[in-house]
Amino acid sequence: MEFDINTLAAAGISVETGEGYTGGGDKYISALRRFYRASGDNRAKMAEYMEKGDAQSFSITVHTLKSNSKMIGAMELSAMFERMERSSKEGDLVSVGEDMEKTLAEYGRILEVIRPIGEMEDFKAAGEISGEEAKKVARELLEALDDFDDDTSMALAGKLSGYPFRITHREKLKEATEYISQFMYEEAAGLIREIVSHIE
Amino acid sequence: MKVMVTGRNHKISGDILLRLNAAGKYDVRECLASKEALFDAVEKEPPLAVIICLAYEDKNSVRVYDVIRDSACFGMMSFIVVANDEDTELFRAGSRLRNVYFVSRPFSIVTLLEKLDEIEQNAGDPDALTDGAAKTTQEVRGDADEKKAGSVGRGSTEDIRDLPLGGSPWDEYPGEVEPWDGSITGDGSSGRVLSEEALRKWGLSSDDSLNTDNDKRKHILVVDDDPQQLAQIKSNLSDFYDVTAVRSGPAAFHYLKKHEVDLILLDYAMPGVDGQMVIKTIRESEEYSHLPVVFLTAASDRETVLKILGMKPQGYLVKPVKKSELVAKIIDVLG
Repeated sequence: MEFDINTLAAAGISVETGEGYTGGGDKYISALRRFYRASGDNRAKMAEYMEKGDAQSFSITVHTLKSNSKMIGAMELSAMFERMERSSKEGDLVSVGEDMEKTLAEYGRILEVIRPIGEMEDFKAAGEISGEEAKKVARELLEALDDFDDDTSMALAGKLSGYPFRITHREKLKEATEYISQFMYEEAAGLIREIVSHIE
Repeated sequence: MKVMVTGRNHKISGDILLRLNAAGKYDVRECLASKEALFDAVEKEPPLAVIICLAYEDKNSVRVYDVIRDSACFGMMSFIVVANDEDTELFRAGSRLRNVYFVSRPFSIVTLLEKLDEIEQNAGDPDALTDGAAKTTQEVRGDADEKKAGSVGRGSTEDIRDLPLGGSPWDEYPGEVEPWDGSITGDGSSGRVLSEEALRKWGLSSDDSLNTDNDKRKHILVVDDDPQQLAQIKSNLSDFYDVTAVRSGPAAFHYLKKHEVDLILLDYAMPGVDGQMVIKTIRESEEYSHLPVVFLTAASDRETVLKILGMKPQGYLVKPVKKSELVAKIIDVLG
């Protein structure tokens, strides 16, 4: 899918700033993708902490969003999250509530602009492998996960996708890959152990 | 001072880039090792010096001088060519050109810094380039039997601007990184030519050599609950260091039980076991107390910064962190 980088600038995103923080080129695109893919989780957390009145957890969440927005060049959004962070650190959830609608609207607007990048498929199926090879790869993958080696784990997960798993197991492998990209090694290992028993 | 770094030996060019950035006084850029990329880069913003890092046993190395000749149209730039000790043909070709210095490997960063210093002092004064020409010509390493590793030579018999343009194009960057063999001269010494004055000036020890031994990459452990920050930091550092990313203090300690690291980049604000608790545990542990810790924080208010400094880390960085700042801090801590 083609994406016109000029749409970012038109939407008020400072591409130059984002490229400065991320290293530019593919690295900037990867940062935009990660920002997009984390949004569901972030929005859910914000809603949950507001409902529970947990100002401290809320401040940690928007603290992270503040710097991640800056990292992609969404400076106005970063400033909005900073404002909410200040209020929530002071325990002032009333002010947070007042700013919430505007901030979420801006967050949603930015996400919509980068959606084509965020939804780009990056899980590519590898060449087909036999059951014997798949078991070997799975063992190596579990070792790499135990070693917290995300690069090797990602490569091996890609290789393992070459085995003709059933749809449900294929989805679990995809989910494991997503966990690896989030550095959640134990969660990924749990899913791999589930599917490895189904390799014939 | 504007400096461009390029060449087929990405390991050395990357290393030079880091160290010049860390020195703080250079505006350093890097470009691909092709004539077109170099011309494109220098045309937009001519640097004062271009450092070209050639690959080991690169049979086409001598063509780099065609590129240097052709670059004359972009203005007065000086070139520092980093080449293999054995490239006598290369050195002979270079000896005919003015504005060209060459450094044979292995070499010390001090040697490079001294050359850049000289180039900066002579900037805008073409006549200065011919001063001491006879003496420097003698330093040219044209004879393999008489050479000393790490010395610098300079050609000066022809003005680069007077040479005809054209010549064979420089090889396109092949996409393959040629590893530096990290060779040391036959007598086992590093072969550096260092003056006491240079050592004092740059605050370096006589042990300072530009060693990019592939087997000794430093290992950085990054601890941050935010996977986006982890991915970004890992992306920024992986060219130069081995990087392991974990999302919590407990995960970090689990990793440290089985692996050695050289430095920990630690997020200050994490849910659950936060950065304060992690560094406290590290400092109180016999096993890990020696590990340098650099905090990462998105906070820049005075109160938080003072609190962070009170925990006596080896430094802190404000997120989001630019690659150059991150690498400079790591070099500062690890050397």
